[in-house]
Amino acid sequence: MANTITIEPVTRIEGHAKVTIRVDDAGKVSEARMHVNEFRGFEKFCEGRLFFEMPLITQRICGICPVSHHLASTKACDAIVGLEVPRPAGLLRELMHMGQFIQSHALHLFHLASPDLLLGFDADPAIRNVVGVIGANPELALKGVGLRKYGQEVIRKLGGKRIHPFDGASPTSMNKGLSAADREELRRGIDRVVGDFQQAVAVVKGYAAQNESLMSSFATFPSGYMGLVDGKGQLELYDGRIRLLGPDLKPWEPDFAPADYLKHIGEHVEDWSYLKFPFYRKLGYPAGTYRVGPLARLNLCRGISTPLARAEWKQFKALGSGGAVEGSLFFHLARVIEGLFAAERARELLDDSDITVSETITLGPVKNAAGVGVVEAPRGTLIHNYWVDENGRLEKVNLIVSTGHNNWAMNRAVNEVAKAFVDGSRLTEGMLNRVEAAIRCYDPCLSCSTHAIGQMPLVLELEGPDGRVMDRKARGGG
Amino acid sequence: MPRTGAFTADGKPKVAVYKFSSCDGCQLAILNLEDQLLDLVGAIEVAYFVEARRRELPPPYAIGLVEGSVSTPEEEERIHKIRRDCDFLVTIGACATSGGIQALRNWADVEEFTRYVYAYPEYIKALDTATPIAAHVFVDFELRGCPVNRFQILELVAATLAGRKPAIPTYSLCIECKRRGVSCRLVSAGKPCLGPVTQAGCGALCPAYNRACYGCFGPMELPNVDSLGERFIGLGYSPAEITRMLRSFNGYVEPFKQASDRYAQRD
Amino acid sequence: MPAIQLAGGIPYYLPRSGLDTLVSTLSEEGYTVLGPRVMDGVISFQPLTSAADLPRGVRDEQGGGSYRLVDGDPELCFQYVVGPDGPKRYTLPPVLQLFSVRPEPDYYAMEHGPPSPPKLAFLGIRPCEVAALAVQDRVFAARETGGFRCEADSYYQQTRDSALVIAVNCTHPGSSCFCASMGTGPVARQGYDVALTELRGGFVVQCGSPRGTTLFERLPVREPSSAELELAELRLEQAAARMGRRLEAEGLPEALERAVEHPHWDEVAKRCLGCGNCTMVCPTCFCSTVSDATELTSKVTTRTRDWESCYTHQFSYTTAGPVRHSIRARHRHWVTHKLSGFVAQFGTSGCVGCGRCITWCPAAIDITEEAAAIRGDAQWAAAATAARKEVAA
Repeated sequence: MANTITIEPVTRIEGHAKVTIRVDDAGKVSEARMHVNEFRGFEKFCEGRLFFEMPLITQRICGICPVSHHLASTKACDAIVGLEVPRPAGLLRELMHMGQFIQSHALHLFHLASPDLLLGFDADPAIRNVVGVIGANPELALKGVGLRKYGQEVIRKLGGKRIHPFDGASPTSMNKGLSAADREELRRGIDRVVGDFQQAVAVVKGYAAQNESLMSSFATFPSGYMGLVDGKGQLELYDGRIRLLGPDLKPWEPDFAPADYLKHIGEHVEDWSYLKFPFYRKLGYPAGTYRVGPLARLNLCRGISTPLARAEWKQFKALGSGGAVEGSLFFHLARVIEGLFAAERARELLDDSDITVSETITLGPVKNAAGVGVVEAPRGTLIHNYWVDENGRLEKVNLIVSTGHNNWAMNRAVNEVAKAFVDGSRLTEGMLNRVEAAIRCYDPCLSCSTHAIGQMPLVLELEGPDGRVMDRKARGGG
Repeated sequence: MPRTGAFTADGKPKVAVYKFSSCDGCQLAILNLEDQLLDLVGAIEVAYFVEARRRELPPPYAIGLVEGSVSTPEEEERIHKIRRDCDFLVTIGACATSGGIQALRNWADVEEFTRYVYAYPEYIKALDTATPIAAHVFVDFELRGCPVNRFQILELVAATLAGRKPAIPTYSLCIECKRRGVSCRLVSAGKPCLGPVTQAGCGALCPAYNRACYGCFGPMELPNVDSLGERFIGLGYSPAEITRMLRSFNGYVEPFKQASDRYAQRD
Repeated sequence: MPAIQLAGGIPYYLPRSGLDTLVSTLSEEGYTVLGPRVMDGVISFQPLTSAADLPRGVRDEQGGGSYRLVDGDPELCFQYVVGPDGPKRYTLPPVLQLFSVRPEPDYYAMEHGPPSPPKLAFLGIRPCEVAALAVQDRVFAARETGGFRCEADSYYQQTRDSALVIAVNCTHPGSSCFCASMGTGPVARQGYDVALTELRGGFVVQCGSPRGTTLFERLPVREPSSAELELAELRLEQAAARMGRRLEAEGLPEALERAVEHPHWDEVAKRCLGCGNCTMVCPTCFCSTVSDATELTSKVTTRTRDWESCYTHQFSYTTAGPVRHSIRARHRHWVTHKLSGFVAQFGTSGCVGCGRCITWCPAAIDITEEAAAIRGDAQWAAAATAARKEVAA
């Protein structure tokens, strides 16, 4: 008999998600889907608010990456008032962003992904968590805590608090610069952060070498890639042009300005998920679907400006033998290489003499009726777009979050894994774990993706060809 | 009275952490207790915490920490089961305590919302309102803030373990500001600071960064919102602006909601 | 001859250039020098490293619920009124860890004992603040009361014993000020080691204690000219005449005692935010709360004393709830205690006329107006007394 398996909630991702797997009469997987269902309604309830409130309001979309929303929003506000951001303010914002990458990538690797990598997919769930990791490799676990703390401390020093900070060096919230004492304190810690990320890269590389066949086969598929690059085409996280490449790493579109995103990106809607599916307009859906985030960024950039991360990136590129690295598990490797870059970049920023220059930026009048702000969030490209009236009142808001861009890819990954590992007749713990692990590669932030929608626990449902739910595995939460 | 099953064999309280519609920030505040996290995990039994671990222990739980507001029919059902499962139910953060930022939609037409954002609005199963947990079940204790102060979570657990009342102040933010020696944003800068009607607990974070308080800890005990509103009008702010200031992260909690409705009418 | 005369023994004159020597000499003698400096838009009372930290060329404009820094005479350093902070922040710190203990099998071991304060020099405090220290002395120093002997607050006592008070007489009172009517300013009469009066070129110096004399004799002082002395006295006389407000204290304690049910309290309660700012900035408000916090694993317990306010729910909380459950009751309590209860309890008014509660009240509530409304309402007072007699009969 045909079944649907539901995994709910998917654990150790940010937020909750639900997966349904449809199997045919022969017990083979015919389709797997990841659903998102929660309703918060940011795009609508922000209408009528004043644009300069948005950096504080939109960071509440997500408690994991509030800095990303804060900065994308701040940049959209800059565009509305036509602000040329002074160099020191730009450095402060970028430093805060690097703090965010350090803490977010550390959180994902050490708290969320390492149980799979260190303990294996089939380990007892009682120990397959961060506590188990502490037992298996206490030194690594402590490094994880330390890295996270450092990143959070960067954010706190610049923004007052770790979650929902309020600085961002913007006309909407520029309040305090970086004091010489705080700069010194951060400089004292940064070498250790760089070193710890180097070790983390070594650990993930070691895992990849030991599990070569798994790495190359697990949720591996071609896709387009999107992300920001700097003027030289190198990895860029804070400010640059958008690059959109096809599966062969040939440009689908010449690099374009973030403000032009609507010309090139459309959003497809499926009736079974609240989360939309972005795609490259010229190719349509699903031919124009692409991935974002660490794997995409390392695939599409032409280099990395900092030496240690650049060396690792070269080895990473070699894995693709000239083409793209397509395996979803390689997100983990790409993520730690990016963490290393963020640490090195933070060190450069802290050494810049302009970083302690304090100046007041005042909020000018509305100059442009619309503003776009784009940053690379830890999970991928984040787009904020606001339309305002002459008094600065918001008339329309459009947000495309990182996890949204990866919506198609996550579904594809779940499909790949379900087909390879799920036997329709039985639900095993290891199979559930693998489906979860596929999703976890993308480090989906379901708070972000449900900014418009509500709760999203991952339920695994076994569904017959007729769509009837035959079995369901829900782990609390649901 | 706590049930015996709410404690482990060695006497540790079983603690559950739940998420409703929210941003995860308050749960994350628990993980942010780096220096105290191991102490905390040693003193309690984390029985249910989806974000941190797969394993779960069956209810009852001695303490339930709830993040997020009730926004979907499914959540409306789930909170009643959670109430039965937890002996001491604590809301953590503005969403759970007052409805949070998404409660702004309570002043609008939700159907219009979903039509706007989604191609298949009929598929969206959202309630018309985003409401605090206490609108559905009895809540034993509230921790305020957007996000919560992680040390208040620690204090709550420590106090519960010691069998005493948590030392969570209910007075105004001004008292924290003055203790800390932060210059008054309202008096010395003419900024519309909500501190005089907002509950302390954050440590005067915003004023210390030269920002007016925007009330993320919600109303203090006996908030005199009208008097502060009159002061803002004296500073040149319009009733519409005051309405907007009150309707933010705690806009749907009674004293702020009522005052904002009055100012909205004056507009 | 000006109506105001400088008190004290033989005066000196310290040229402006001597200010830096004053600060460095104090530092060399092991004092933590506290004085006025501009921080985040206010003149705060903070540690100074040199005379350059002083608010030179800066003035404050104060009024009900309003405080702004503006440009002043570029030469002068003490042309402001008072900031939100004063010596209270150091004699009675807002947060003070009293001690911490660690449980041992059959006793508690002391981890950290009572804190000992640094040796402080209060530079540039106003006569009203000198008077406030005298009020605090009555509260915290050892004393007999109602047949009981109260022990001194040891931290306070140690601070006071070592602190050096270098007052600066007030030549720039603000619109919130009423020290002249309280008899506490604008000239310091006692309770100081040294009192300065600022002129453009320097300071007329009066030593009020042997410690003060010894200190200033080491500084580059000279004898003041009679013109300098006369100018200083003139400045102070002008200051006394420029007080923005006035409080008639005569008969006030009795009037307030009788006014418990005065309808004026209802009127003020509509405006009062219950935020507690007045109590935090008041230089004589002394209330504190003591709490213990225990670490989860080590079980080390720390006892802390924090500033508390009679405007909070927890302040008067008993098993049955707070004694004063409304803003009206809390506000009435504060005013009545300050202007009436203090007199009975400590033999002095609790108000020194510094005007801080007026300036820092976000709702601009004015204690002088309130006192006047209640005191001046003779008709109501008479009717209330008659009613009370009737009830008693």
